[in-house]
Amino acid sequence: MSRVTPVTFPDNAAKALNDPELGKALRTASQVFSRKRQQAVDALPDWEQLRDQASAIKTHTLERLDHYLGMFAANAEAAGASIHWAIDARTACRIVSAIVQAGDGVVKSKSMTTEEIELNRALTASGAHPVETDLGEWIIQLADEPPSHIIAPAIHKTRRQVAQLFHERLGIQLTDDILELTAVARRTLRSHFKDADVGISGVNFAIAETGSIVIIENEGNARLTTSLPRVHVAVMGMEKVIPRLADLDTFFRILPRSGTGQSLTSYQSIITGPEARPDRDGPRALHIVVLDNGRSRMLSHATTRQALACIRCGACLNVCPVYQQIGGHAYGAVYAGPIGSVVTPQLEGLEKAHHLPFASTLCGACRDVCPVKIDIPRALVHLRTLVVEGSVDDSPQRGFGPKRFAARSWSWTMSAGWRYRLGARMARWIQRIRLFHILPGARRWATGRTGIRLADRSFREIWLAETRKEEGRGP
Amino acid sequence: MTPESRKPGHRFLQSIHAQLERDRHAPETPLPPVRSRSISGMDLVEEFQKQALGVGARCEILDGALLPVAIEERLRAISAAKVAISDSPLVSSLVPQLATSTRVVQPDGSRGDLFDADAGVTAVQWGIAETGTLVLVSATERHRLASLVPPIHIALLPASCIVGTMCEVLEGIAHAPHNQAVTFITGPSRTADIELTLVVGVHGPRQLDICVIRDR
Repeated sequence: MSRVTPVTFPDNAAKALNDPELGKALRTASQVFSRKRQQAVDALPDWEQLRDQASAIKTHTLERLDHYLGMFAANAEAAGASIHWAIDARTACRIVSAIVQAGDGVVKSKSMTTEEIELNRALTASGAHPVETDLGEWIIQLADEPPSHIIAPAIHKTRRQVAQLFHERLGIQLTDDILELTAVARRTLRSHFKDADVGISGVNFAIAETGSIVIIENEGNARLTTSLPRVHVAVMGMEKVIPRLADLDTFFRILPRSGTGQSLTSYQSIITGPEARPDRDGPRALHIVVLDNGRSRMLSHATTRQALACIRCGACLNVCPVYQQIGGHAYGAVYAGPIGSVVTPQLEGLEKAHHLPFASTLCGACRDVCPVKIDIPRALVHLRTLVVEGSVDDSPQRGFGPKRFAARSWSWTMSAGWRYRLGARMARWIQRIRLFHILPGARRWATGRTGIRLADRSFREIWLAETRKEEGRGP
Repeated sequence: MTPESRKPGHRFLQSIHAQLERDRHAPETPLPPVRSRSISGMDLVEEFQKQALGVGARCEILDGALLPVAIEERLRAISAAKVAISDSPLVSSLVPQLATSTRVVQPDGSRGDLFDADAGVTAVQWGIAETGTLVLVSATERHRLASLVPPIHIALLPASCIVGTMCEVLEGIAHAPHNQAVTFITGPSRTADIELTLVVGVHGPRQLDICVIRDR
């Protein structure tokens, strides 16, 4: 199978639309997540003030990121942590691979950043066997698939598929019991935890004033990963820093509510340096890898810079009418959905991801739920402009292709009353004799889309007819 | 070139600085003051209990004198053979009672014993009434493994340590030195990674048993 990438987005999306199992899973997930989020948000009378607060903290920090990141690094080093600076994914992987010694047992807790740099691939190439320990991540590691959702990576799999996978890879009896499947995960992963030498985690927040890293989770696997091994490696995107420890109150209130609809997840760990004293629990060494990998490019423009405020809650995926239809894999990149369509073109280059800014209806649902108020539609329009006017030569959006022709025709039709009336009449006529599908490219475009049924008479025509009747009757 | 500017961190931060400089004409966003919150007009202990029960923890309020009996009952109910403990004075004071019916795994015990333990007993430094959350601080108590590895976590929370909101705890730990690890615990370990079906007790404890101790 050829590798799914953002370049092949139209094909990925078409394939996803023809997968009924995926469609069912996505509909359930979107509904459940959105409903729980709404309930959790409604319970907070000051939700909008919280969003304003979170947005202002993030915007302020990003505008002075060099300052706060420097402060974080200095304080973390003072607490005994080692800071490593990784300009790109390759450097980050090289740093982590050098920390892991030959023969070390390596456990990992869920981290989108390590997915982004494809750390597991690099570690495996250097002879290590990293084991994912978040249940969803472990499932997709066993299946050798990428995650399809920021907070529920295996959301595309049914219990039957998980059972079949466990049966094939672990030799357990087939079962439909989710409790039993979860128990298998606990049992199997315990043996890895017991002998682990290195634990690799992500970072949700980094605190500038104390040099602490903060990890949020529900399962407890991140706590095991960061407490049991003698070495802890934390990989963080450089945008994760916030100024003050007290700011966590705001983010603890918005992140779980937006992600899973919980008022608080089961566990938050604030870790400040390694455990130096021999009579204490915890790793003796803490390595923090700070990753750029294209992020600094996003800083130079306010529209793209705001996307770095993302706290990876996944709320924009759950409400997106495009994501709801095609799921995460179709985007062909680690970060899926609306925020992914903003971030991926900047991390991987617009020429590789030029389809993604167009994978949106610009309905604005993502902006309305975003807990840090990122204006995703505006960023997508900004990227569309770059694609159409600028650097991407082989994009179908450029030049005078069918899309531009359609948009120009639309604009011309809608800008004069008589053209609009004539156009509407023609559209109904085309619909009546089912002419649409013979237009070039229309059949492909229409696949997976629900058509609009035009009324036989327009509102305008009905109105005119009614007024004439009234006038005919006289006063 | 100064030695400072050759350090990789310096170059990394310089490149961030250079990108930000390209957009310096925009007005700067000030850092908003911390939104401090407190809750008033309710009994913090009762509210804590209500919230803890709401997230699936067990939570009983009891008199300090009854604590040893209460712990013994709990361990008997699960026929615990091994119990992992933290090094807090409160927990240490219970060791004579614990040792009558179970083997006590000390914080520096072997990893094998820790993984075999049927329950873990720790104290708690703060309780947060608003969310039913426990806060454990490693500088005060060696809690990281005893509260995590065994399938049942028995947490001893003095009622006087219950505060209203997360804000009060964060203010408390912001400037305390040597807080290597601060752990916030709200209910048992949980996952919904298969078909979004909630399962309790995946990697951490499946049962969180909180004893709120009224001061004598």
